Amino acid sequence: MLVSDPHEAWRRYVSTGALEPRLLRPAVLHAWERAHEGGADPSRPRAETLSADDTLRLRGREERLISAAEPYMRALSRAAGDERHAAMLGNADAIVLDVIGHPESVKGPEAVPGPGSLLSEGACGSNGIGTPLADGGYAELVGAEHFISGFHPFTCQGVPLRAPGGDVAGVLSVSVRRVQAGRRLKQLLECAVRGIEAELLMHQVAHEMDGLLRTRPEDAAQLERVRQDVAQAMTVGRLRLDAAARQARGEDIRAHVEMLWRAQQVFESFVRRAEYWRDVADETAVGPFEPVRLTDEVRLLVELLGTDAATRGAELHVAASDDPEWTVDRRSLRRALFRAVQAALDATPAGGQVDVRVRRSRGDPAPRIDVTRRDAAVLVATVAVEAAGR
Amino acid sequence: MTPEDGAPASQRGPVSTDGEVRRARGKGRVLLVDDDPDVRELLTDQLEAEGWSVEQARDGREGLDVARAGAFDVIVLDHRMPRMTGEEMARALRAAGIRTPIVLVTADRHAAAIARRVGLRYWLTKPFDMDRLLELVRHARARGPLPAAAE
Repeated sequence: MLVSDPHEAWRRYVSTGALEPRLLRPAVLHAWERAHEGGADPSRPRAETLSADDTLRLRGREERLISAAEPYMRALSRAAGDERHAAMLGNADAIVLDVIGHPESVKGPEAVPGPGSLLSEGACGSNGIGTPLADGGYAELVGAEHFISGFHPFTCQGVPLRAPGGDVAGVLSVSVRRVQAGRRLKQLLECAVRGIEAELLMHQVAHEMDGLLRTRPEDAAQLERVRQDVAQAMTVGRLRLDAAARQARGEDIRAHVEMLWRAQQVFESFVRRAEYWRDVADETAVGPFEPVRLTDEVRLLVELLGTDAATRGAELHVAASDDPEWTVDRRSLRRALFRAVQAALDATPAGGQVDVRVRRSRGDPAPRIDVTRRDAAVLVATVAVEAAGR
Repeated sequence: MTPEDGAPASQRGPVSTDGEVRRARGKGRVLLVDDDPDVRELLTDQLEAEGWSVEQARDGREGLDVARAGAFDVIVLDHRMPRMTGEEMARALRAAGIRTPIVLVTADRHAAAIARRVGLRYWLTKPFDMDRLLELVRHARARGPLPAAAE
């Protein structure tokens, strides 16, 4: 039977070099095994640190990640309240880039490792920066579960951050000076990571768009409006996370969880919108053919253009349809659909409504999507779906 | 008398828009104009938690009516809205002699140019931070209304 006693496990390891599987949680044991193989020294009081110049250069190279993470680190710090804590950002090599938190934890005699500190497991064993990177997911280290003694007063929770392409971009972690992991902090941390990943995606997509729009000035205004609506969605996500952080120390747990859940929904919706926007803007992107439920695509477009329609005083409506999946070139379909709906919105006066409906007549090999102005009962456009099969 | 005359609105006694004495105390009165109900709800909660008294409007036209009817210390104004944009509302306010400081909030890449076009000192680009907005609102309230000659 496992009786977790990390302090005793640490004491035995330091005196004999033996790892005691019975005394450690499996995730922590694996981290210690990696640290042991990497030659980390458990008696080390603190982490190795880059020189001030190297740290400055590193922070300069990682400026985008640092600025994307900063509001989320402040939200985490706010949630931790008055207790000693630090929100930490590390790069993909487990080097600390930024620390925000309680003054005693950032600058005091018991400060957490600052920018430039190397926290890979090979250098200092299990910790809230190196272990999530090594594990590829959420990790928490409570007190003596940390491999080196200098970290024993803290509980650290960390989650890796992924760049838009899926590569690891870094790690977000929160450390508190107590020997107990906080469930609310864990949820907030995971939501903050989704937020930072969405910020990185937004930055990348906006950068790509700058190049694309120079070659397509005729579409610039439309696509810029949609970009602004995507940024608006991001604003709502940030504000919700911030509100959840402010509620984290309150007594209304339900309100806090609800707010956090809604923030998460916004970030997920943001990612869908940003990807849709990218597909629409990039004229050269084609294929691959993939299974698509057309009504879902229409719903996503309506979500994307909903604010634009509302700003024009018009309404966009998707007529529900129980269509099966079709194998289509999703990107080309999105562009055609976007143009058709935009044309309908351009033609619709304030107070009007645009309906989008997927339909398939008997005998047709593939469905089509009708875009109709309901106020004038006019079919504005039909998008013929080029399907490679069902 | 417009808000730029004399003391800030919050120090000149309560203002009523609905027959009730409003909470014209604390840090001051903010008019929040945004078409997104989520943003209105979230910003109002945080501003009120910080001690501001907040009134809301759903677009520029409604915002203009509310601003004309009451005295505010700061207006937080979204740019892209139905019926009347933030820029149009700001112009209309200034034309009416209302010189309440405005914090323009926009996702437009040309936020600074838009603000300068209307003679606004304060703007914030979306997505923004609540802390940054609160800082700007405090600052705008402390600096008070822009003199007419400055625009």
